[in-house]
Amino acid sequence: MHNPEMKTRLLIPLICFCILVSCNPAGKVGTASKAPCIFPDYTEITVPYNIAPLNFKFEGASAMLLDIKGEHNYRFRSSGETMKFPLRRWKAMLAAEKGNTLTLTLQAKAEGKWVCYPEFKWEIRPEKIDSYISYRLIEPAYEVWNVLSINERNVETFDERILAANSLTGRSCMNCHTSNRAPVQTTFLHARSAGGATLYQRDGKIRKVNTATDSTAGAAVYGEISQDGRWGIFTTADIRNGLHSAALERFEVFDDSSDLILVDFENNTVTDSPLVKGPEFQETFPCWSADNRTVYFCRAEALKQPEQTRQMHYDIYSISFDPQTGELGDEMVKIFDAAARGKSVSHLKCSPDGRKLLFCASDYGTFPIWHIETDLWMLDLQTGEIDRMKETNGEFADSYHCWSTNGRWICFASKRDDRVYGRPYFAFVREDGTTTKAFVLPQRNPNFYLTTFKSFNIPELYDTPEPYDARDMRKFYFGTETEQMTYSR
Amino acid sequence: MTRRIFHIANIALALAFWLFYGLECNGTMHGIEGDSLFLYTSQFAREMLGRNGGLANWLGAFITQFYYYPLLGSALVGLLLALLAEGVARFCKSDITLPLALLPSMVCAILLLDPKWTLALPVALCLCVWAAYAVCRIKVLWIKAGCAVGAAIFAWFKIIDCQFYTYAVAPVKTYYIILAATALICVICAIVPQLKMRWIPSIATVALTAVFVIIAPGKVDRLQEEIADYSHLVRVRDWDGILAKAAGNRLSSPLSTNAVNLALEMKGRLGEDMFNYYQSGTRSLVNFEERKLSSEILYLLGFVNEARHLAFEDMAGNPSRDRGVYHLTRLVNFNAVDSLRRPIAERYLNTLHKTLFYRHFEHEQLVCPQMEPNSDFFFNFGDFCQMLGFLYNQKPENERARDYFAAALLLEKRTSVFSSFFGESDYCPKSWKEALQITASINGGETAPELLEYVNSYNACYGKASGMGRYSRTYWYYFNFR
Repeated sequence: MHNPEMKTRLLIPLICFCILVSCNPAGKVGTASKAPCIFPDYTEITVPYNIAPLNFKFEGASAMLLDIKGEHNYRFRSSGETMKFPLRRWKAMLAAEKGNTLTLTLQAKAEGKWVCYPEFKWEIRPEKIDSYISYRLIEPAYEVWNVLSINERNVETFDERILAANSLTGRSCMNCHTSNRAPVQTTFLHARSAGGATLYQRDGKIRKVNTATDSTAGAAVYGEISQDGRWGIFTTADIRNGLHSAALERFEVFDDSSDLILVDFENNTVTDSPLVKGPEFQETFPCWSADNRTVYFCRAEALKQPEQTRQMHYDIYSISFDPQTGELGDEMVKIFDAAARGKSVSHLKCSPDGRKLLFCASDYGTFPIWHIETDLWMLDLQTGEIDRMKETNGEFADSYHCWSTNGRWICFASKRDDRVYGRPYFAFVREDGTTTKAFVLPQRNPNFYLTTFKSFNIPELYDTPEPYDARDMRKFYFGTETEQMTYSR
Repeated sequence: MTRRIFHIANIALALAFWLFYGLECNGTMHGIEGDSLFLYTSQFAREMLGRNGGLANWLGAFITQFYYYPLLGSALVGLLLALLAEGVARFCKSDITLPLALLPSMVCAILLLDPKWTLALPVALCLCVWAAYAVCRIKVLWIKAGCAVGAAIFAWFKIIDCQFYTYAVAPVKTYYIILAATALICVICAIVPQLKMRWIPSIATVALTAVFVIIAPGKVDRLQEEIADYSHLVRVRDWDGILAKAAGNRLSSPLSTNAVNLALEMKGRLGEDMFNYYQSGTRSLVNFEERKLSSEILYLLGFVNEARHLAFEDMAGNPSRDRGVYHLTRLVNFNAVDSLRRPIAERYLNTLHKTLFYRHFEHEQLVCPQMEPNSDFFFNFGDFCQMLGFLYNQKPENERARDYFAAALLLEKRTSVFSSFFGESDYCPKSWKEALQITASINGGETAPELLEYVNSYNACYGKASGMGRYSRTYWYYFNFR
């Protein structure tokens, strides 16, 4: 035994044995009557087969043992309060269990005792979720910001990169990174302040365009780009804000005026229609129908603000669009009377199959993220029926949603956890159009959401990674000539 | 002999800095400590060390947390400066260059008296100097060369490129001049040979130390220090301390007056004693440009949403500052007022519990939901008096709102409005009585019997050069002359 090599040979198996023993329940295991209180809440959820490992935390646990039963059996161990799944084993498990429902049994050791918790389930859907998600990371301040960035995250792994950082672009504000999710992907984002413009990317080529003209109210704000990448429908708005004093409210953003503009990115022109501009009504949050032949938008009678902000109720309207002539129709139709229900709608997003319209419903106004009562609602465009998505909505503001390319998943920012910090949540859209309980984007370290001071803003799903990064963006921002759009009647 | 004098001078400088900084600049030190955050977590270390200049920033933040106790913090900084001087002195072949070794630490000491410079500066210098010295000690040439290249690359990314200044526009040029000058001093020290000048280095060392001791105190911004001191006393809710500090001292800034007025209110003496101090309009009550102090005032009055707004924006909006413990403690307090906001308070509390000095921090209970407005209105920062009026109308039982509303009306000299609100009030402190007497005299009403003699005496003096001084602490004097 004086041989050090011999000592090492004996010591290594001994240590391995001790670790295994400490991670396995030995002797009596108690049972708990309630489901395990894990963070994030990944109990009873429906997930895509290509999602990154759903690492979670169980506070107070010194060891965990997770048994997963599906077509095969799997066992994962943890020697602390966080359960981190090895990526390769996780991928193999989901690939093997595609379309199955997994039953999970968690045993956790706390204060020296092992306790077995009631089982919970994960439904592994064979429908893929888009591989990438972009979001803006920003401190949820009211008017000012310090450092913000638009990041792209691979939802199948934990890889993340920065697409645009305001630290590289003179601290300017950047927002609304949006994809058209077409086979040839087109995306845009707005960079504000001096040198700023709309950064339009199609097929790897980036352009910097200024959509503000003398004949329209300002530059493009909220909007979408058509599937062929040529047309953009946007809001132009004079955006103001105010600070609430009553206990449970926080901040209000409202438009003194707002109109819609149609942007032709091929001919660099901006146009509009008398139906969607003018001081009598406010029009905002336009989106395309799946075939790009209809524009849905929110519209409300223009009232004096901020005095009558609480009376501002936006309804949903539609107007036809002819992609050949680039003209909006002569007639608009009210397709959802939100005011009659005491609600105001915003952020319209049409499903890829053209059958559903997903939107935010708040008590009033046009800026849902500051309204804790904001929920996502789904309108069936064929029947006119409304689904209030009770299974999916959280306690506080659910907003900034988008569809996956195949229309089977939705992603949105939810403040359900603490009222202030938004986090990206996903939910599955069933065949009948109903949606499941939402789950948060998994992180390598489940503590991340509890410690970060950043809010996830405008999560956007897409399947092709952006061809640029923050350094490229800096070059475009400072080095590229801005293309000036002209107004066309 | 010269080396001994150098060591004595180095220790004397460290001691002088310790005592002067710790005793004279403790308000500023508390302010710096409040703006910084050091967490005892691996994630925090990884995040900090992963950034450019991360090592210097991380060590700087580590030392800054000890500013919580100014004498402890300044002792550590004094030690750091002594270490820097000792590091440079190690390069000296000749005693004649020893006085030069004191210069970098003296420059750092003077710069640190300006709160915008961070501890990353002396930390970066210290690390670089000692790393260079360690490399120089290596005997084998190729190892020395390799270590020199490695250390230079590491120093460039993880030490030199640090956050040495907490303001949007950093004096980069000054910083690099200091770095270059320190490097040059090290080189000079290393190449100047031993010369026979027995007394000159010693005299130079003593003279340099004396010059530093004379110059340094003049570099302290006394106004800034006064404001920082009052802000700290507000932060720790030491109302008696504020009033003791203000007693007999002229308040140099409206921000100091804000703190004194708040302390008076918290002791229930605002209406009685506010005109004992120099007042100048409603900016004597609050200045929204200074978000930290104004957020405290709004919070204690019951404007919790607005307080949270200012505290959050102060935290998020500074382009060169990360969040600090001061903001986090405020946000815990401001969010813990009602149960619906508790989850967010818990979030900040969890972060605070990972620090050294706030691990047992719990939210205070100075404000209750009943003090907040129950009917919503948009807050207008341009008309504080009107906002106070809205709050008082909704919550007449909120005594702080009542007193501040009354004070705002008095400071705006709206005596008739004041009388309409408070003319019938059972509670009627000195300044209110004086204001009501003014309204009475304007409207031809009767003067309160207890004021009659005083009014007659004031009227007799009014307009005369002498004698008015004894009335400078009355509302009448403010009304007529300010």
